[in-house]
Parts: sequence; structure tokens; C-alpha cells
Amino acid sequence: MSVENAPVVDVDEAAIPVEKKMYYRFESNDKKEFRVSELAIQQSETLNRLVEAMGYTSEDVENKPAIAIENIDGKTLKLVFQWCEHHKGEAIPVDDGSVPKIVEIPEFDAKLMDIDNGLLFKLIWAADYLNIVQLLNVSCKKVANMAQGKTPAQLRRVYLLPSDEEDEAAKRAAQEAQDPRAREVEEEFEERKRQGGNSFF
Amino acid sequence: MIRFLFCLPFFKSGSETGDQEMVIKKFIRKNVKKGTSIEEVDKKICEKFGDGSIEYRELDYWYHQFYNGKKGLKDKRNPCDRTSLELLDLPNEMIHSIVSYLPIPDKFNLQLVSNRLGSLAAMNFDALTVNIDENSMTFFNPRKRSEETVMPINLGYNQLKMLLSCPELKLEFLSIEADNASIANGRALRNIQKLLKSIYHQLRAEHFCSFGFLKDQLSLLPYFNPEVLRGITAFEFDPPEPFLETIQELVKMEQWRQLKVLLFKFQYKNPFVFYPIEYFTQFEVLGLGDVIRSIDDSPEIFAWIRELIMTSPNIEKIHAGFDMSLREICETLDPAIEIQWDVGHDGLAFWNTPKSKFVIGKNTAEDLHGLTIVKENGKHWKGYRAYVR
Repeated sequence: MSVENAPVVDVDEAAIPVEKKMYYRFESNDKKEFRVSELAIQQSETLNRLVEAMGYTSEDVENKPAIAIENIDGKTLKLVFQWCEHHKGEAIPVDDGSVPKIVEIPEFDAKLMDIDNGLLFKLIWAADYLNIVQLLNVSCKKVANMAQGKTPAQLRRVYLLPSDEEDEAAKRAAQEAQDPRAREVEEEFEERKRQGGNSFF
Repeated sequence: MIRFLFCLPFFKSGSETGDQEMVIKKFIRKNVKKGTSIEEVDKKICEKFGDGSIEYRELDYWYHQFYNGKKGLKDKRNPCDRTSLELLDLPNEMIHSIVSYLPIPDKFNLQLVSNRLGSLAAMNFDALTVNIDENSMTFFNPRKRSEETVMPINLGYNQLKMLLSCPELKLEFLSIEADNASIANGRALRNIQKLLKSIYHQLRAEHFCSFGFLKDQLSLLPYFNPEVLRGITAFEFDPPEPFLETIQELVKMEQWRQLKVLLFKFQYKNPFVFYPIEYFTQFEVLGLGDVIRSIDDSPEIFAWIRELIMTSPNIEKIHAGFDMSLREICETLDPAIEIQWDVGHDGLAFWNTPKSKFVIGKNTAEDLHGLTIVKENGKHWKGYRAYVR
């Protein structure tokens, strides 16, 4: 995607101080490009450190390739940058481990996170990877809110949670697929255990 | 580690599914338009098309597609896009963070879902108070008092057992209380003993508070891991107890010998002050809960504190309740105490002992009667500012 065609994510020009008016270009793992203000990037500790280390000038930003974020797809990254632009300039909460941690979900965030679970989990993962503290807080709270009041059966259905038995069976199947002898070895081990042996070897 | 799932068929049924898929999608779209919640749509689909007619993940996807303004029924995802991240694909730290926002009943529920989630939920309990009543049990986190859960007594015991059985559980604070000290010699105490006995491992709790007699600890402490337990709180009520006999038994226990913090609330005229100070020299922190209103109330307690401060090699901090002026307390404790300043209950004083220097000041700004005697620059020292109001 060319620089000219890269989508600009919800930028409120008036809110950006003059000296911070630099836009970085990022590329998702599916080659979608985003232009994000320097101020918005500050919400992400990871990206902020990265751009500081790169020391790009305005010209570099335009002339050099977009900074690749290889672990995050375009759909997720778009949400991340929308969030960062909306919350740019806001203080980053410091997690001092104090209890209780009170997190309110602002209206904008609630609307942004009206997405399917798959995408919501990708957003959580991205917020953690990019170290965006407040986005991680609100997205985790959102999932917790959705889980509240649900029975174990409902939780299993909504979050595709296997029971312990299903989990064990899946693990065994995966092991067998990887190493067909694994089952044999395991059975032999179990047999020896039954016979009272203390050690397999 | 992220584990992407292989593509699953969208809808569970067989070849006639094409039509049914469309019908269900239209049904979802119609309900989204009406403002129906996803839970309600799920329920309606189960009623109308049968259980398992749609994977929840698909319902979730289409619901949010329509919710966010898409109208088309054509699935534009390519098969690779259908790989999706699920809750259990997230690392434990993130699931832990999610669980931390759940109220207590939902955390209990997670223990019924799977071992992994149960363990993560258990790890989320850092502090727990259990209040046992005649017919009900109340659970709350003393650090988040608003989050209180009341349940019938039998269910409460089951939930408590399930939680305490989790080997990953490590509590900074556990309090098991029963109204009017009924835990002592009562049904609640017997039930708790039975419950703790049925658990295959020793509880990992740093501080255990039992609203009962000190002698209750004789039957409860064996169930605690002595390597973790650092402090206990005992609340004494009216009937006097054979204190000396109790403490002589307690000192035989590894759990007791490892204790560094002892907080007790019992009548200050209790004869404990007449027993050898050696029983208390293992403690770094001692808390005396009841308020002493005058010197005549208990002259022994002043002598007891003085002896402890002068002779114990371990004592770092004593906090006690005094409804007396700081000057009066200090002059009674030891005339050698240097009072830097004082106004009524407030003030700051220094107590030089042969081995250390102690600072005398407020326990907390909110605690009008609370007085702290703390070793300067010791383990529990928080700086001068912490002890003045």
C-alpha cells in the first residue's frame, strides 16, 4: 500500500500540540498501513520506545518503509490505533498493585469493543504486546463483564472452554499426532505404575 | 503461547445446512435490529432451531457484524481468517487479569468449569474473609468490602472447600469468623476442622485470623503451611480461657514457632501479661486490640510492654489502643522516653533501649487511640511522617 493511500485513523488535529505533529507509519502483518500521531503512540510503551530508538525525522517517516508490526493483523491494529488516537495525551495509569483496581469503561471504549469475542481477544493480546496499560485494563474488564452471572455451562459455550476431560483428550490427540509412539510409551508407563514400579527407567 | 485453532465448520449440521445457515443468519439480523441481546438471541436460536444448531463463535461473529451495521449475509471471510483467538489462547497473566474483575460468585463458578480456570480464579483470591452464621455464609475480600457474597451454609462450605482445595491458592490474609465466637466449641469450628482435614495439602496463608479463642488455633493451625504462615489474629471474648496451658501447647507446634506477627484482641486485664515474656519474644509485631483507658485499668500492661521492648531481640513493632495522652503513656512506660512534642493523643517520642531506638507515634491518622512503638529503620519502619497525624 502506498503512503498516500494509508488510512489515517480518526485524528483530531486541534487536539495535537504543534511540536508533536508527526505521524508514524505502521504496517500490520497483513500489509495494512496506518498513520498514527506521535502523541497517540505514547499510549503504547512498546511503540513509544521503538520510535524513540529509531529517532526518525519527519522525512524519514515519509521516505523509509512503514514500521512492521508482525504479530498483529490490520483489523486489530485499526482498533488499537483508534483507541490510542482517542486517548492521546491522557495520563497512563501506573499499576502499583493496589487493590481494588477500579476500571470504568468509557463510552467510546465500550462502543469500540462491541466486537466479536475472537477480535476482542486479539485486541487484549495486542494491548498486552504493545503494552497499552489502559486498553488492556478496559478490554479485560469488558470480558469479565461478559462473563458475570453466567453458569459454568454458559461460560463453556460462550468462551469455547473445554472441560478437563476434553482438554486431556485434546492434549493426548495432539501428542499422538506429533509422535505416534507417545501413546504406546504412556500406556507402558501406566502399566509399570500399576505393577508397582517406581521408575520408568 | 498463542494457539490458533484450525478452522471449524461454521454450522454443525450436514448438507442441508446451507439453507439453515441463511435462515439462522437472517434470524440473528432480525433480532439485532430489534435490539435483542446476544444471550437472548442464543436462547431463541436454541429454542427455534435446536441446541447446537450454531456454534457460539459463529453467532458471536454474525451478531456483531449486524450490530456494527453490516447487512450482507455472504460470508466474506476467507478460510484463513476463520482462525480465531479464544480465551484459553491468552497467556495466564491476561486470564488472571480478566478474572480479577469478577465478583466472588463468578470466581467460584470458574472452579466448576475447568482446573486451569479454577486455579487462575483461586490465584485471584489474595485476601478472604468468611463469616459463618447460623444458616448462611458470607464471603468478602476485606480489601474490597463492597464485594460481599452471601450463600446458604451448605453451599458455602462446598464453595469454601473447593477453593481451599486448590493447591495454587495462596492468601495473604484468611479470616474465618463466626458470630459471637461460636466458632469456639461450636458447630462452626467443628465443621471448619472437618473441612480443613479433608484437604490434601496444608493451606498457604500468610495471616490467619480466627474470631475465637486462642485455643482454637490448636486445632486449626496444623492445617496451615508453616513455611508460609507468618501471623495470626485471635479474638478473645468473655469467658476466660486457660491461657498458659494453651500457649504451652501452641509453642510445641511448628506453625506457632514460625509466627512473626501476633494480633490479639482480648480484655487487657487478661492474665497473659503475667506469663513469662519468653512466650512473646519470637514476634516481630504485636498488636493489642482493646483500648486502655487509664493506668489503673492495667498497670501490668505498661510493665509488660516495657519488658518486651527492653529484652526481646526480635520485637520491631507494637501497636495498641490507648485512650490516654501520649505524655501520660510515655511517662508510665519509661520516664527515660524523650517526648519531642505532644498535643493530647498526638505526638512523637523516642525510646532508646540498650540495643535499638524506638519511635512512638500514631498508628494511623484515622485511628484516634492507636499508638505505635516502632523500631527506627527496622523492617516495619515507614519513616517519621507515617507516625504523626
